Amino acid sequence: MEGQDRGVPSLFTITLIQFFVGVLLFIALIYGHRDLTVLTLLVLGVISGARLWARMSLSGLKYHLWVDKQKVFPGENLTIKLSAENAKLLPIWLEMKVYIGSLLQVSSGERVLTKESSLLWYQSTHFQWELTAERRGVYQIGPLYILTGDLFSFFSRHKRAEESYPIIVYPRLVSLKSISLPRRDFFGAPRAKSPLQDPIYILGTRDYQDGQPSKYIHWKASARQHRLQEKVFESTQQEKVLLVVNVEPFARRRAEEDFERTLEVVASLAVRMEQQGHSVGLVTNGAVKGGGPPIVPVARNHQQLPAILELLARLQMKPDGDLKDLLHHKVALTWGISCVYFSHKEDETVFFAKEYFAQRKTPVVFFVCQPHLPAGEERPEVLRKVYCLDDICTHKAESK
Amino acid sequence: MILDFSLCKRILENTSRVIVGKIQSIELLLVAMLADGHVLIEDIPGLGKTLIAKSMAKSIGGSFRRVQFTPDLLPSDITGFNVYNQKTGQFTFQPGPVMTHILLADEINRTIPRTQSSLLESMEERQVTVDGKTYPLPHPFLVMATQNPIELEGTFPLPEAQLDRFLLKVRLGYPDKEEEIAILERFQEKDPLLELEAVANPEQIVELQDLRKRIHISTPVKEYITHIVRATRSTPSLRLGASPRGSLGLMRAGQALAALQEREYVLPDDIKSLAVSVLAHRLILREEERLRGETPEHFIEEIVSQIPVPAPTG
Repeated sequence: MEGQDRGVPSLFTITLIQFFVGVLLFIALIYGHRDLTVLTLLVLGVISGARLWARMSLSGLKYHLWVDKQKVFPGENLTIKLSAENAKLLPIWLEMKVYIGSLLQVSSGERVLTKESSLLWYQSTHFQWELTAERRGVYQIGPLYILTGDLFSFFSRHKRAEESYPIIVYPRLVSLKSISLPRRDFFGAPRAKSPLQDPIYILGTRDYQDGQPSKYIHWKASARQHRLQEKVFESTQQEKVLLVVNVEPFARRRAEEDFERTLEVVASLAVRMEQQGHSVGLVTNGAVKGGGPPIVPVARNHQQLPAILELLARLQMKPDGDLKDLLHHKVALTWGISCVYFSHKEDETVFFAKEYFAQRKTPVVFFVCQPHLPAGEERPEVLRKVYCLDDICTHKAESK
Repeated sequence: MILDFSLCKRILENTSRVIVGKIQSIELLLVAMLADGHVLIEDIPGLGKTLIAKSMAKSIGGSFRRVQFTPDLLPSDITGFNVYNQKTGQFTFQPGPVMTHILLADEINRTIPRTQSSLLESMEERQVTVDGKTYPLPHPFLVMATQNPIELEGTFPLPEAQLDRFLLKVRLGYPDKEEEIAILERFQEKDPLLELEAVANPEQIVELQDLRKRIHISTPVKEYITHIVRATRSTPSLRLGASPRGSLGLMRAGQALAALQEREYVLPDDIKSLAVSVLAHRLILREEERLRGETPEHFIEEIVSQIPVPAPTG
């Protein structure tokens, strides 16, 4: 958006000066006062020249806004660079303002980054700022406002450049204690894990069964025993975990601090599971800033973890739909998927969720911020697998 | 000294009679073949990986085998195995699909590390050893391994040491609109692969590989390679930089590209254009960068854009 004239000393003053000089010129012409005529013409000429100068100041002005990274963890620094070049013969003065998100901390404590400079013909200038990401969320660097004009600062022109960068601040990653998740495999309860990460780890040999491929024949064992022997392999095992975040109880109790803490644990758990080679997914009933589905389906690929972390960064403590409906209609809870369910308190939502997953025969564990156990009462069977966040969280932020 | 590399152009043109577009990808495969290296193709199914491999094998008059890698594939399914003959009481060697000129290892990361290792050993040593007996592989020997970048579930990612054995990583990518129309027209009535005839023989390829070694590479260009490779080791966003094998790979690939363009010397631009394909798969990102969704390709491009290109001499 390109702007019009903006009188720096104020439009009123300039108009007043012009009117006053015009009157003086009129008087000087009537009385034939040569010196006054020249002087008033000079002043009017300077004003018109400055106006023309300001009008031309935006042409040939090149600028570029650059941010070194757009996805950061809290506490990480990011650098904003701004360059401007005056690609014409006319010198100009220049003021550039970059609007930054409300929760990004600049070392000087400002919320709008401002720099001023004068540029001679074909001269360029560079500005740089260091910002620190403070809190999880999605922010925007930009737009960029440019104010320029004649070197006397009589008149100016402004422009709003649509150049902007979204900055995604992931949740902080915290250290977690190890937890074991309930699993359900095709062939009953899983055995102890093999020391080898190999799905066809040979457990032993047995007599050859008709119909088995010849490549399974253990020729040396067959030669040794004088009858065909085949290899017996260990079954393939790979965990699939769906992380479920119920935003509604947090929003109902306005538990912002607990919500942030929960998201930190969810993010850390997702990172750990992905590192262990598991397939991970995320589903939540919270509103997503900037739109987009609140689901990352269970999968394992290079972009899975960035997608989960980005959804957590965009997640707002504002419910957007029923979690049960979401699980029922939008999520494929296939056989073999285990769930980790996060909520605020050990309340009726956890109870209903437990019932829901039991009906679907999906193994699940629950994590809440505030466990609620009535004094002297034993935890009912249905709530046996409810843990407190403190059970896995060591309250120590990882160096990210 | 006059080195005749016109045969490379003929192979390229011959392969292009089947493959629509993808000239750059075919060039990279020829670069790998001339440099006596192997190629890792990271792309989704259906983009013509098998067709390119078959066309190239046919163009060089060599043999071609394709192995679909699955979790139950055993090393012996690749290398071959000894079968016990109950009548003679002797073991007889049954050669595996690795005994070929061009081997397409489809979805290599779907098989277990043991099977991957057996293939990679063949790639490096150009021989297989079964039950203590060594069998040489035919020359030339080119492995085109593919892996799907979209889904990693049920896969066994190739370890860094094994990835380092691949000279190049290539992405084919989707054809553009005109190319896609041309594909439909070319394959509407007949299969051009069936009509494709050899324009070379494996012995000529081996000769070209020997000739490639004689392509001149000046000291400033060697220094340029070193600067790029060393920069990968000092970039803070990279946990692991390229090894000296990466430098050697970049030099050989540069020579092969020069040969393909019928030049007897390597230009810095050859190195510049090959840097991403030769080095990106050898690098490991720091965890933070990986979580941000960054790729090694991005950092290589950044490094290459920052290192000054050596000025032409003499």
